[in-house]
Formats: sequence, C-alpha cells, structure tokens
Amino acid sequence: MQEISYRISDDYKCRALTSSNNTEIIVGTQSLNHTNKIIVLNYDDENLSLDLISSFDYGHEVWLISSSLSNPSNLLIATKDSIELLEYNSEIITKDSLSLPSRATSFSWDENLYCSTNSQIFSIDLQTQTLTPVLEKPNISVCRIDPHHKFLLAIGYSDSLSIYDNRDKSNRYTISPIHGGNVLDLDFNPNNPYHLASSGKDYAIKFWDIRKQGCLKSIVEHSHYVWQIKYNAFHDQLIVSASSDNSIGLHRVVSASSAPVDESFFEKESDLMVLKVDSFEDSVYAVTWLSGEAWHFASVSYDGKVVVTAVPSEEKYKILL
Amino acid sequence: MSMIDKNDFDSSSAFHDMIASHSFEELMQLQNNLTSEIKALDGNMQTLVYENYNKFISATDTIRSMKTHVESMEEEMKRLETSMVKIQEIAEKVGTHVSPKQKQIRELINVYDELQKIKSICDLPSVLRNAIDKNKHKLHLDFSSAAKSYSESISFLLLHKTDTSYASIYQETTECIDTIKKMIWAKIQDLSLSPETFTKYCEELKLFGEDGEKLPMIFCNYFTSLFNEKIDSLYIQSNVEANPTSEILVPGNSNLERVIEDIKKALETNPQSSLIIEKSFAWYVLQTHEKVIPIVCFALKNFANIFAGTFHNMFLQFSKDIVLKYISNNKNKIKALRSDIGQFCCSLHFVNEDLCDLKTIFPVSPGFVLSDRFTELFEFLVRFQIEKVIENLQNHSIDIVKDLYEEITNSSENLPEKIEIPAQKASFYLLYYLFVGIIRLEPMLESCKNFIASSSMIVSLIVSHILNFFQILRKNLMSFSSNSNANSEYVVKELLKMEKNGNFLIGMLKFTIYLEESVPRIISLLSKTFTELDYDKAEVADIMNRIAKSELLVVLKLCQEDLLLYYIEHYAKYFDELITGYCSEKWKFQTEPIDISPTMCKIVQSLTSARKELKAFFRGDMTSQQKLTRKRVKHNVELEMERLFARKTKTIENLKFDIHSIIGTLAKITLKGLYEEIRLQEFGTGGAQQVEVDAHFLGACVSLNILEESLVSGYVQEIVNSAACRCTFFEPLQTTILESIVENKKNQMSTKQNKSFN
Repeated sequence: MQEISYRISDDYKCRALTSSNNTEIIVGTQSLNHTNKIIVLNYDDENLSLDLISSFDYGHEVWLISSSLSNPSNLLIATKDSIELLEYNSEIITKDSLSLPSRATSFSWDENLYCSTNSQIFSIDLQTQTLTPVLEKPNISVCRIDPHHKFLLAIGYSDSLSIYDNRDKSNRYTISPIHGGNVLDLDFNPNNPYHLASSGKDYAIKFWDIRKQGCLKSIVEHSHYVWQIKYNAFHDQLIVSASSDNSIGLHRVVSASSAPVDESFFEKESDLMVLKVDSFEDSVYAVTWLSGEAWHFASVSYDGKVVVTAVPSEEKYKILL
Repeated sequence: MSMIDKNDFDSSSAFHDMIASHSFEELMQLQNNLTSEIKALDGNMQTLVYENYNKFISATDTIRSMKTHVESMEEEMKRLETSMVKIQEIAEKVGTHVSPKQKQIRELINVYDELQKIKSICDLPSVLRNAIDKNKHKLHLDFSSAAKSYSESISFLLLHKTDTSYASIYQETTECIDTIKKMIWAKIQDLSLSPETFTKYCEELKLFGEDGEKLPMIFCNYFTSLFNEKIDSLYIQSNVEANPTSEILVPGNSNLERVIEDIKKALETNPQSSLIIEKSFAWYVLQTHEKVIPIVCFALKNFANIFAGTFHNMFLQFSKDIVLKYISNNKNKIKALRSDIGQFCCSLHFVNEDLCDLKTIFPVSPGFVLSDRFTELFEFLVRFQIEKVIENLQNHSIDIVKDLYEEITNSSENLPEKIEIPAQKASFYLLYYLFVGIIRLEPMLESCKNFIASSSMIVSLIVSHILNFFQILRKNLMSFSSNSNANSEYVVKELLKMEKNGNFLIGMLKFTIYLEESVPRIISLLSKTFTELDYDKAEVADIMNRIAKSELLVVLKLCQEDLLLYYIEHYAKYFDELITGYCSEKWKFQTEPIDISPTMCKIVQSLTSARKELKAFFRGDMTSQQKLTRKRVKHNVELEMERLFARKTKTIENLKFDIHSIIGTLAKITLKGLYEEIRLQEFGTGGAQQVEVDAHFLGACVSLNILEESLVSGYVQEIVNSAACRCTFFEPLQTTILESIVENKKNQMSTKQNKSFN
C-alpha cells in the first residue's frame, strides 16, 4: 500500500481538507488558543513525497474548506460564524466575507453557493453580500447541489434525506429514515444522475436512487461514525470514506455505480472494501480525491496527520483492463 | 368352555378341578351349557355330512351320464368321417371340370371391372356436375359421394390424361373439381361452422386433391381459435359473481369420488346449480375437461387422419401450442379463483383426466413430453396451495408480533422478568397456526400423491416452504433495523411503525428462543403427518432430519443474532440522541460546574436497565445456542451466518454475545460518541469543567463491572482533553472536589434506585 504522510504541529487540530491544482492539498486548522493556519502541501508522485509549500496565518478556525473548480487559487472557508472567499498565491487575501447566524455545517459550491447551518439553508451571493434563506429544517447536517440537475438540492437532516427543487421551491423527494442515526454526509454520483451516497452515525455508507425509497446498497465497514464520503469523479465505483474509528476506507461498489455490468459484477466479491488505512491515531473527519486525479486521495485526522494514499495497482488494473 | 379347545386338555383332571372349585349350582349350569353345546355341534356335523353326501351323489350322476354319451359319440364320429370322404371326392370332380375354364372366367371378371372403371370415369364429370348442382343452393355442402368417386378414378385419369379419349373427360373433371373446391373454400372461411362440419369439409378438400400447406394451417387456426373462444368464455363465466356459499364442497373432505359425483350430479340435475360453485377453480377445471378437452382431442385425432403423416412439424407445433395454452390458463386461473382444499383435490382429479384423454392421441414430439408438462402443472398447483397456507401464516405471524408488542408496551409491569409469558404465548400462537396450516393441507397431500410420482418432492416442497416462512419472518424483522440492507419487499410497515424498546426486543428474542425449542415438535408433527399419509418413511425421515431440523435451527439462531444486533443498535441510537443534545449553549459562558448533567444520569439509568433486560435474557437461554453442531456440509444459511459474524465483528470490535460484552460495547459507544460531540462545541472554563465532572461520573459508573478501568480512564481522559481543546482557558478541577461530586451523585442515584425497587 502506497501511503505518504505529513504531520502538522501538535498545537493544532484539523477537520478540513481540500485539493487543488492536481497535486496540492490544502488543510485548515482549528485552535482556540493559537493563530490558525492554512497549510498548502504538494504531493510528488515521482519522488513519493508530501512537502510543505506554504503555511498562511489565518484569523479563524477552519471548519470547512473547498477549492474552486474554475479558479484553483480560490478557496472557500467556513469559520465558526462566517463564510469567506480567499485567494492564495504567495500570500492569502480575503476577497469576500459574509457573517452567518450560526456555524455552517456544510456548503456546496458550484455555479451557486449554498450553505447549511443547523436549522437553515442559505443561498449565498458573496459579490453582493447577500444571504437568502432557502428553507428551514431541524438538525440539518449537510446540503449538496445535484451536479446533473443544478436546481436540485439534497439535504441531510436528522436521519432523513430530502431533495429540494429550487424552481418551484418544493420538496421533490423525501426518504426517511436513511440512516439509523444522524446523516453526516451526502455525495452525488458524478456520472450517474439521481444516484447519491450517504453516510451517518450508524457507521454505514448507503447508496440511493433518490427517485426510489429503497436503499440500493448498504456498507457497514467502519466501526464508528462515517463523517465524509467522496466519489471518484472518473470511476464512480470507487468511493472513499473518513470515519471516527480512526480510519479511512476505499470501497469498490460496482452494484450501485455507472460502471458497466460485466462478468466481474457477478464475481462473489464485486462490492468490497478495497483498502482500509488505519494508521491514524485519532478520528478522521475529512477525505478527498486529489483534484483532476483518479488514483490518489488525501485525508487528515483530528490530530493533524495528513495522509495521501494511492489506489492499489491491482484495483487500478481491474478497472482499466 | 374355552379350556376344552386347548391342545393339552385332560378331561379327568378338568373334571376334578371343576368339582373342587365350583358350587353345585354352578356345576348344574355348566352341565346344561355343555349339553346344549354338544347338541349344537351334533346338528352342525349332521348338516356337513348331508351337504358332502349330496355333492357326492351329484358327482356320481355326472360320471354316469358322461359314460353313456361317450359311447354314442364314437358312432357319430365314424359317420362324419365317411361324409367327409364323400365331400372330398365330389370336390375333386368339380375341380377337374371347372379348372380349364377358370382362367377364362378370371379374365372376363377383369374385363368387367375395367369396363366398370371406364364407365365410372366417363360418368365422373356428370357425377361431379350433379353434385355441384345439388349443392349449389344448400347451406351445408355434401360432396362425400362425389369425393369418393373422384378419389377412385383420379389416379387412372391422371395416367391417361394425354390420351385423346380421356383428355376431354380430364379437362371437364378438373373444371368441376375447381368449382367444388371453390365452393368448399368459400364455406370453410366461415368460423361459425361446427367442428364436425369443418372437419368434413377439410376431409373432402383433401380428397379432391388439396395438398398445400394452406389447408392444415387453416385447420390449426380454426381449432386454435375455437379453443381460445371456449377458454375465454369460461373465463368470462367464471368471473360472474356467484353465491359463495357452497354446500357441495366441504373443505378438507378427502372423499374425492363422492365430491366429484356431487358436482356432476348438481350440474346435470340443474344447470343453474353450476352457479353454486362458480368462480371456483374446480368448476373451471371441470368445464375445461368437459367442454374444451374433447374439442382438443377431436382436432388432434382428425388432423392425424386427414393429413396422415404430412405436415408433421405443423402438427407438433399445433399440439404443443394448445397444451401450453391449457397449462398457462390453469396456472392463471388458480391465482384468480377460489379453491379450498376440497375443491382443489377435485381439480387435480380433472386435470389428471385431461392428461389421460390427451395422452392417447398426443404426438411424440422431441423435447416435449406431455406427462412431464402435466407433472410441472401439478407441482405448480400444489405449490400454489402450499404458498397460500404459508402466506396466511405470514399474516398471522405479523399479527402475533404486533400483539406481543402491544402486550409488552401496555404492560404496567414491563420489567424484563415479566416478558416470558407474552413471548411464550406468541410462540404458542405461531406454532398453533403452523400446525393448523399443515393439518389443513392433509387432504391435498393425500390426493396429490396419486398425481405426482415423487413423494419426496412433496415433502421437500412443504419443508422448503416452512423454512422459507421462517426466513421471511427473519427478513421482516429486519424492518426493525434501520441499518439493514433489507429488500423493500420484506419491509413490513406495521413493524416499522413500532417504537422499539429494549423490553420488546428482548421479548422478541424470547419468542424466537421458544420457537427454537419447539423445532423438534414441528419436525415430529411433519414426520407423523407424512407417515400417516403413507409417504415413504425413510425418505420423510431423511428430509426431516438432514434438512428440515438443522436448517430451521440455523434460521432461528440467525434471527436471534439479528435481534441482538438490533438491540445494540437501538440503544446506540438512543445514547446518540442523548449525547447530541448534551452540550448546552450556556456552557460557553458558565464559570463553574453546576451538577452532574441529567443526560449522564439518563445514560447510566439506561445502561442499568439494559443490563437488567439482558440478564433476564441470558438466564440460561444462550446455552441452548451451543447445541447446534457443525459437522455436516455447510448450507447456504450457514454461510450467511458466517457472513453475519463477519459483519458483526467489524461493526463493533470484538463483540461477543454475552451480557458483559454487549453492555461493554454500549458503554464504549457512548464514551466515544461523547467526545465526538464535544469536539464540535466551544466551552467556557465552567463548561469544560462541567464536561470533566460528567465524564468522570459516567466513567465511574461504567467502571463498575462493565468495562476495564484502564480502558474507561482512557476514554474519560480523551473526553476531558477534547473539552480542554475546545476551551479558551481550561482549568482542571481539583481531584478531591471532582471525586466528591461524583461520589455524592453516585450515592444519590443508588438510594433512588433502591427506593424505586422497594
């Protein structure tokens, strides 16, 4: 197993990570007693190293972080009470900032920007500094824009899933419950419309067709909450998960993917956990595929250990050949 | 006086015994009895002697008369011999006179025959014309005699059609034949013809030399549409609403002949009475047997006659299509119509009669064996009935679970100890319905033996359905778990709606344990039923012991394990909800800890009650789980069980099914969940200290016999560290203060508990 790691200072805890410019990994820290940092690391596939490129001081705790697809040097950050658009090159500049009534539990950034707090979803326009409430629900943990139908918004609240249609401002589909505990993350399948994966406090990752009530597939491979899941943009049978059982998992789920059904589908182990990285000493809250890349993913644990892991070559060949 | 009949009877000793042991009156009575018995025996002997003497006399008479007749027969024979010699002499004389002219006579006969033939050939056009004229305005055509003349002459005519003398006759004949064919073809298109007339026309056309594919094709189409029409009309009739009270058929009546006779009689005496059993499958099958199958037989027989040997493939296809349609109709109909077991036995009888009727005329077709198709149909019908019983059982089982739920939730004393009775009652009801189902099937099992050759097939069918019932029950119970990959087919809304609690889940566990204990009873009842119905004893025993028993045990065991997992899931979810609301906004600004948080008290109380529930459950019950031996080949369910084990160990590390392990796991889940929640909050010094106090309290309660102290202190430390990280200025409490707060609360709680117990 190819696994490269980098440790951020002991003074910081981390729960936010994103990837940009193909091989750059950006991590935001959380500390109430020190100046927080935004750390940019570069993964070098040839030399198999993970090096610090820059470390910027940042005045707030970083709860969520995401890079822009169109402009890789743009970063969106959620602090405990605001949302900020940053630009980083040799230094980091705050371009826009907007206060939120409470801490953001998630945001989804596409052409539009949506952000969820515990009780509300907002549509945000950073340029005009407007914060428009979209809807209210109790215990909202996550919202995601459907990449195939940008007017649809998937909302995870309590143990349920709701699909909100922004055109007529109504709930299009609701599946309740989808998990045995609170929903923690949702991710739309990048290649298969109407399909999404969810993770929750019941240790499970579940796969859904939002038009149907029944779960397509349920995986229980972690032994604690699954905080984040991310589909591979190129091969959606691969999905990574970050869990507070101090591990991350790489799963192959052919049965709920857009991958063609071939003979391998009927193999006994067509759906399985390909890899479990359990070298962490604390909970892992964030995981992401390296941007524009199919075979590497990065994760960060609460105690600040950043790990870049490669998809095992046997798995790679199984998909490619 | 039975002692007299004994082989070692000794009269003198018997006499002495009697005198010694009986009173005078008794002896007198004995003597009277003996006298009358002797008289009766004498009479019997006389009758026997007389009868035998009579037989002897008549035998002597017979022998005497035979002797006189044999003597006269010899003379007759001699006379016959001389007559025979005379006849022979005369015959020889006639032979010598006639033989020179014999050849001449034969030639003359031949010439006469030829002349007759020529005459009939010459007459043929006029015969045909006459026939045309005669039939021109008739509704029903009759060319049978013309066809006979034509078929007799046509071979000669064809041979000599080029001769000048016959050319014109041939020409005329062909013209007439064309006209006749056209006339018949015009009629044959009419679908309202009766099968007999239609067949007659076909036959005539064949005789008039129609030999293309068109005719057999039309023949097949006609009968196929007739078949469809009949079946469709039966469909419509059977869908007529009818009086549902049937006095004729009593469910479970195994006297098949009598029931069949009753139906037939009712139909004969009063056609309206068919309404009595209308909408039933037996009625439908009887109607098919009496009205449709004869047409099928008629069609098959006539196709073979008319087109003898030619168009064989078309014939095979036609017969196959008809039978397949018949089978599929029966299959569809049984789903749509009423059929209690009594009626169903009649239906099997009629279907079997259909098979007997078709068997004699059905062509041998490669890859299509009629009796095999019928066996499949029988199996389908039988399976359908079994499925109905099992479906019924399924509904009962859901009701039973619902009742169990009601009883446990409504019970004012829902302490775990009181769960035994409702669980036992539930298992009793389930077994009752299962046994009733099996008993209800008995008449069918008895009669289907006659139709389905392999009795082990029936036994396996029943067993597999019962197993399937338990499998589905297990899958239904998956509705309890939000984490199951349950197929929506098995999700039972009523079960989903139930608000599960620990007591109910333990009740369910008890219920499955009682069921497991009843497995030997289920097996013995099944074995007894089949043996009483004269099924092969060895086969029944083999299926019961090798498959039924072990698989039933495995399914029920899996059920129990599932329920235990749901039990853990249930508590984990509850603790999770408690923890999510644990941290207060106020703690950001709190300067010192107030009291142990009510959330912690609730968690501790819940852990205690879970422990109590589990104690009630594990009291000797799980030992029965060890009984299952695993020496034989693995079955599918067993593999599934291993998968379940794999899932279990991964979900919650090192989980074993004992009270200590389950409670320990719940405690770990809670402690871990607590610091995950704390990491999402922000505290003031007092808030962080509040967490510190709460964590130590929870740790102290959990340390008591639940988890190892070192493990607990590790978790507590992590909770406190997490709170410290989320606090701008953390100042830990002094150990003595901390300990006294925790101790105080613990004492308070135990006094409260004791009070509530008292």
